[in-house]
Amino acid sequence: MFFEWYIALSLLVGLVVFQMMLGVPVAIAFMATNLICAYLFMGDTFAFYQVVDNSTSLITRFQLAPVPFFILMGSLFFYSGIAQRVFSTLDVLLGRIPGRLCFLTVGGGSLFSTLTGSSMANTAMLGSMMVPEMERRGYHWRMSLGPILGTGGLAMIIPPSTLGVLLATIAGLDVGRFLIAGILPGVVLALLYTAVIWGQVWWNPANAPQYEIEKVSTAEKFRAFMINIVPMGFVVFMVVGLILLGVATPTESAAFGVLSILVLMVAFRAFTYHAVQQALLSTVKIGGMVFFIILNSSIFSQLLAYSGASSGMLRFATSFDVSTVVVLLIMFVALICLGMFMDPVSMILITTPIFFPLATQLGINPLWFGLFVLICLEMSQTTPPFGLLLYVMLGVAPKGTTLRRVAIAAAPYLGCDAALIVLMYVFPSLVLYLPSLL
Amino acid sequence: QDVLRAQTALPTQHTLSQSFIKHFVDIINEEDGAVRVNLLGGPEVNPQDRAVGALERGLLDILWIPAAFTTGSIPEAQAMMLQNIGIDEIRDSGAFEHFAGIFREKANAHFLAWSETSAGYYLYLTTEPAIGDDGVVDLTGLSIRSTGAYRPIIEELNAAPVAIPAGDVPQGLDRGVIDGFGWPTVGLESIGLQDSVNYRVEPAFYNLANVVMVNQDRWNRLSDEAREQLTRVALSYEQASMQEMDEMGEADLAAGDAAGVQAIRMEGEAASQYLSRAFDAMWDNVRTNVGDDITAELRELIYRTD
Amino acid sequence: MLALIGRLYIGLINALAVLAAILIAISIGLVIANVASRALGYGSFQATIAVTEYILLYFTLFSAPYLLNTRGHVMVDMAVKQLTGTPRKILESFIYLIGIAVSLIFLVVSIDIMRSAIARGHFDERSIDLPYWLLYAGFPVAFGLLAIEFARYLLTSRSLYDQTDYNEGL
Ligand code: NA
Ligand code: NA
Repeated sequence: MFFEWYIALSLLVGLVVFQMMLGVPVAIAFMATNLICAYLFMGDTFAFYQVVDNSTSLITRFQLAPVPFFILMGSLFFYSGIAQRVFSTLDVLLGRIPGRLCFLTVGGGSLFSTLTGSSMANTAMLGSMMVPEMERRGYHWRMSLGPILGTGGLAMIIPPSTLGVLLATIAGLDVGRFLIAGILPGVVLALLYTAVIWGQVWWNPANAPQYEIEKVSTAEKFRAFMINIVPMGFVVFMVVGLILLGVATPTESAAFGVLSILVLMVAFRAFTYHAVQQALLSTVKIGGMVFFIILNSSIFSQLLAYSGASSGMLRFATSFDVSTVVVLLIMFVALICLGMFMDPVSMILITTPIFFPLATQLGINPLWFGLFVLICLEMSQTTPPFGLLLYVMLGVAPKGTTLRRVAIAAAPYLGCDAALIVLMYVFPSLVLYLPSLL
Repeated sequence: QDVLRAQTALPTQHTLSQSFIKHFVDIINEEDGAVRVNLLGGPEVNPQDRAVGALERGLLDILWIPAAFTTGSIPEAQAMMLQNIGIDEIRDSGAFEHFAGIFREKANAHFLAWSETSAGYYLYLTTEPAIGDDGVVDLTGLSIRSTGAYRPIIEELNAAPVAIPAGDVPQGLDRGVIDGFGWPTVGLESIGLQDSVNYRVEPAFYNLANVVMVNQDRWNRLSDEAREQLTRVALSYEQASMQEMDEMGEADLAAGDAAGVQAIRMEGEAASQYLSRAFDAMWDNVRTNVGDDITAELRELIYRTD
Repeated sequence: MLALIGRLYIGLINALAVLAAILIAISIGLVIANVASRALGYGSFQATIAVTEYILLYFTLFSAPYLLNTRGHVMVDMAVKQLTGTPRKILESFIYLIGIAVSLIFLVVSIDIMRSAIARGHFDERSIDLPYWLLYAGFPVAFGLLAIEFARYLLTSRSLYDQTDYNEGL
């Protein structure tokens, strides 16, 4: 049957979103939508065969292998206790700076970001570790909740990033270059966060009261740094260095990331079967959940193409004589709105087949645009009412924390994200310089 | 007017898909005759390796696809790149009809066109290869990216085949994971790899074989005028695509020269040695997939040794 | 007897999840071995990419029933949580029925695709050629178990939306 592109588009997107709102598991919502729409568009039960047949195509791409690998790597890092070890060392190194726990959060969070690919894991870990500590020290809730929500999202941008691999694969970007493109913007974002904390403490020192801590000698600090921080360079070398040396391709190096954490676990005498078991279990939980959505939603984007919805939308959007900035702004708003009730993976799968061709048409560099989408995704996970990171934070924060407080505390950090997008727009080389060296 | 839903198995912006769009889709639609082609898109519509299934099930009416991508369900199609008699003789000798029978039986498809046949394949290398006693390049010690179409020749020339995904090729070359790869004689510039390689091994081997198929049931339902129009445009597309490939091949060579790519050129006896080793390696591969009898039959139809 | 079947059933679901974890570990080992072999000059194993790609598929299929059983599939439970009593029962049943229907369609169709691929000798061309039916061999088990799990939610007092565990994510 023939459908006008806007009817096909409304049917596809409407059915998925409607079912998701009802509470149908996301993957099942995609499955049902695909089967219904394929039948409508193709007018024959052969459509079911194509839906099932096409489902094994995207999921069996080698480029997706880093997703479970990075999840396992990050989980091993947490469950082995190496993460806590790195954190307490950073704590010692910082000494007696006003608002030090906030800076510790940003510093530790950024470091964790380079070692894990998951912003939820990051938020959960920092939230359960740092919030009670900061409350005990009399920090204002703005100061205890905000920085964690900010840095939790850094993990999405700074490589390795599981979501980054996914986005790159689905949008057909070069995975290696895309991951490396996130380094500079990630660093800038961490600096912006630092500036916000500094500003908040300067504005009202009572936000982060001073307290006495144990004095540690410089020699002690140096020792702790060498033992606990420097070896982390080994992990970075295994993930990034092997690519640069030409030993492994970007896809393959993720496996070496896992190997390097295992080596560190043995070296730190932190290797336990329990840790490995726990890490594998979360790989099954997170990776299995994400991949089951991908298995079903890859067909969704094919139906968008088959029905003419993507191309019709593209023609429509480019028929107006509007500037690139306006289009980016519209996409920004669309992503933030979708993120109010959708998980980032579904968002990538729904928007990529529509947004990327449009960006290409407008002459926007795909790597730049990919990073733009990634930052929007991060922001959308921190906006009420349904931002997932907000709920993760609510889940681990002490009793009495409300969604309102979490959202208000996150606001200045969302401002930083927006500022980063503007900076990226003004200075595209922030994104494009490092990948151009590869 | 009948509207036919079409897909290309390569992205629509791809050089080879463009040849199909320019010389077939656009011509049909400009004629505004008995049929119109509604090009739905490239692999974003159905993944490359699922497109034949979609055509067979009638979800697509027309499919343009490199023959090598269809060998999962039509193993004989692998031999199509080994023809060296040219499209005119293929049409005259009944070879085309023979393959049409195979496509009808195995993919429920009417075989409409066999296109871009004047282009071949080159090996591109980052390191200068050794030359063996018989004057043929010897790739011992080199790692070459291999996919189905190139594995036999790569192994025949003593190189180590390396399986890495297409997306990893640029960095694989720059960082030395691979020392080269095979690529059609057209389209290197469009993927921007001419700066990453230093040598091109000549002459070209094999011949591109892209096919246009129409779902057999849809074909049967079309009017005589529609079938006549499609067949006529398909024939002229086969010819036009060859000229297109020749021109683009020259443009690609020029781009390669501008980027400092040097030719390693085998001539005379060495060249024919090289080609016969390349073709025989692939014929052996065909043989393992379809058996001795069918291989002999296909070889007789489309391959001449002088 | 019923209790034994129940235990065997849960055992099967958990065993598949363990298998999924083992498969990921194997693929990591394979990739590392392949790179090492290549770097040391022994050449690469052609099978690495194809096997890893199939592992990604089987990892997905084998973890899906476990995730449904442990409420690990991501979903928005706002609407369901707003409701109580009969309206909630109706909405939940509707959702479970969708789950059962789509799982059964995948189950039946995958078997038919396999049957035809075997009959016609299709293969899947990758870094090594594999028989095409292998792509779908895990479907009947995975989608069969998913259909049973949804049916259990439908027919027993268990609810998919009761105590949602802490949902890990990206
Ligand atoms: Na990260
Ligand atoms: Na129930």
